[in-house]
Amino acid sequence: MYDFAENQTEVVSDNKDELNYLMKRFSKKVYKLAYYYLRDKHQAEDICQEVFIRVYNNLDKFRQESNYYTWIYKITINLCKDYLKSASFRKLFAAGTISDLNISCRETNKMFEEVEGGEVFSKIMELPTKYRIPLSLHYFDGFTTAEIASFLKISESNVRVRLHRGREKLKALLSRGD
Amino acid sequence: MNNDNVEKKLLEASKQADKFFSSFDYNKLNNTVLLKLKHENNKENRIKMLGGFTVKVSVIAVCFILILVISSSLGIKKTIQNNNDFALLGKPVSQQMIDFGNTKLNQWLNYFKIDKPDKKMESNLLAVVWESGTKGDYDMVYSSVFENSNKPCPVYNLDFPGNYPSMVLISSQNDRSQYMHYRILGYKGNKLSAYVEKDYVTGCKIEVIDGVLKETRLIPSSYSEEIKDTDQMNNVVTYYIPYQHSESGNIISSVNFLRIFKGDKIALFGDYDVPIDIAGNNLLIQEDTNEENSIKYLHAEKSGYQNIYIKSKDGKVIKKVSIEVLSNDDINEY
Repeated sequence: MYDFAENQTEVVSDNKDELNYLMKRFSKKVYKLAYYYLRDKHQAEDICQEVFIRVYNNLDKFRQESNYYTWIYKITINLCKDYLKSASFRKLFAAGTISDLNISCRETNKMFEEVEGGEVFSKIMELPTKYRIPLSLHYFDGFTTAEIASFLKISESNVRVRLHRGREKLKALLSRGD
Repeated sequence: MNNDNVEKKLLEASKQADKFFSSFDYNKLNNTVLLKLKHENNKENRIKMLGGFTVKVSVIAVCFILILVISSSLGIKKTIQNNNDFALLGKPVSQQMIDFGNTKLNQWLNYFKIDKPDKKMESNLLAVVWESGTKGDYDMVYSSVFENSNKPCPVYNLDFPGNYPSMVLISSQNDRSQYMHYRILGYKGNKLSAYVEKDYVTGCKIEVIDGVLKETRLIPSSYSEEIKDTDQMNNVVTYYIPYQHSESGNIISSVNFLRIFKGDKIALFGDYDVPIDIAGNNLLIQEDTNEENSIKYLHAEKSGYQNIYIKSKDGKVIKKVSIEVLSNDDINEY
């Protein structure tokens, strides 16, 4: 189960105070989720800022029907998906060829290994989005399959299938590295 | 590497992730958000202070200038566009990674802008699927042209339970989204093929729900030589249910149960043409198949509950898919 149980009875009167409270509590989680999607520190930071601006602008509309973190996570996922679909991302992506992309991936991995010493982490970040996100949410952030299903709007069995396939793909990637 | 080792590696990755994310300055991020909000508030206040009249005058002036600029540059833009169309050839306008659930291969989907030989300035897209070869090079394994279409759409996966390979939906729209083209791709043996190919689907919306493609399209309520009123178009919903044969000969479908509404259609398609039986009380009526006989269409005539049986050619292997057909009165409940 996830390590923070949301206390919905906590009442914060002023929106700015409420935003401060939410940012202190969730900014790390939101940043991590955005990073899992985008794999870029700067883009993840931009998305994170946009998420909390949207949270602030929509605090009055938040009806407490779901937990804060479910609401904020869904905003984050939507923004990341919009960004990946956006013209600016495609333009960035289409600017290079496949070989350029492979070179770029290799360079990123090299950077990871040298700076962060995160070989396995970088291998997980190499996986396709549909496996990368469930694996990261489950193993790095401790979410249950039911919670991941709710964020990603897919069935719980589908989450389990993706976790299984993701582990298999990771196994193949790590074996190749050996 | 066994499963225990993978779990150990994942635990190791979790520690690496913690270390990686701990370096980020979250306080700075929070302060930036607050600064942005303050800036936005100041901007709003300034606009209010300007007063309605000033704003209106400014808006009218800007619109007027924009109209002048756009109308004068239209001719220039057209010429530039014509020249650039040929320059764009060879470079993909979009590139997406695709995944058929095969752990050994990497696949990419590229869309290229192409013109027809008569050089008529239409927006056509050529979709190409590349697959990684044994030496790390890429081979083209599938291609298809999407005519009069310039907007590639995101790829969707139609997943099967267990470890069976997925199918992939690729699609594109035209600029004003009047229609859509799409293909459902999957492996037949070692060959990547299109199971479903649809072109110029009017008013099309597609979504994938638990491995089933839900296609909503507009069709005229009555066919005549001339469509006089676009309001006389009806929504038709079709659920595309994929199936495939496992190595052991079993038939696997992406769903065991599907809930639809009266009037909706079901289309069954898979890696082999197989007979289909419908048992029960005739809620579902089998319609014509497509030309290649690879897609079987059913139409929900009445509400109720019914099973569809997908059979192997020899009739020995049977896959059951249960269908619940809701009446229009049930719509509000769902």
